[in-house]
Amino acid sequence: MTRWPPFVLLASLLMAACGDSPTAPDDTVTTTTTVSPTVFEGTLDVKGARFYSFSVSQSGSLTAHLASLTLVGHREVLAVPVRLGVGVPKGEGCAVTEFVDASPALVTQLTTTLAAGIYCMNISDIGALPDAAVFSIRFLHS
Amino acid sequence: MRVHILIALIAALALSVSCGDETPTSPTDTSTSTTTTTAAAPTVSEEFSSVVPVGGSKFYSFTTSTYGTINLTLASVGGSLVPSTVMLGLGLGQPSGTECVTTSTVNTAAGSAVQLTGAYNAGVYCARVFDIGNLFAPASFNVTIAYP
Repeated sequence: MTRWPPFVLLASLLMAACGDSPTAPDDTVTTTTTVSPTVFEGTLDVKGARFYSFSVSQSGSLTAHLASLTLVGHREVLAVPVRLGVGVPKGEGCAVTEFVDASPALVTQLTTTLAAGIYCMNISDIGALPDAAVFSIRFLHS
Repeated sequence: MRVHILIALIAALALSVSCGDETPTSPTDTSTSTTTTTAAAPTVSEEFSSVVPVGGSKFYSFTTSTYGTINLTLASVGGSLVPSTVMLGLGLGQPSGTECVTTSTVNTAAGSAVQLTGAYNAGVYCARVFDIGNLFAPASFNVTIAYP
């Protein structure tokens, strides 16, 4: 049996330790970014408008829908159209650049693409509201 | 046997040294580049006129096109039971939610000199006027907003 001198064994070990060979990761990590919907709730007066400002961190799509609309003090859904819009805060309001007239529904009603920046979600009465109404808008953006 | 151990120790020491990170060297040339961006002067002026309720606030949004100076001036305050010298809060920030989230504020009476100023990147900003506890009745006001 060949007897290796200790320094040869030690040198071999240390040389192996010096290597820079990358090794494959044992596990694959997948990062998923979850975007939570923003809920904008409030009371919309007859002929009135309300807006909510939000910041978009990177270019991406925005989807929105009017989740509910009820007369103040009532629970029944008010099936009349109001205007949902997206724009940029300006003056004391929201300068809307895209909009849709919609009644409450649990489907996407407004879709657009936004670059990074500050925007606003706007809701306004287009003349169909019989009285002040409580609304809820849900929207998702990047 | 002792010779082997000695040689092994020397070899280990030598290899350990060779395992170290590369020795940094001094740069042969040094060049420093400093870029100074000058804030653009205001070129646009808007008037924000409204009424602030007791204990409340009002805000006004605007968009600047380039890095530059934003000036806010509470030009006048008035209304029934509201002395023109009353101090109000004046703030500058960015719209968020249903509010204007201010990053800079000052308590001031109306005057002709700029009361709040600063250099800001291009973007959407808001001027906010708010009662700091001095009002007993709603106050009408006028704020001049100047920006690039």
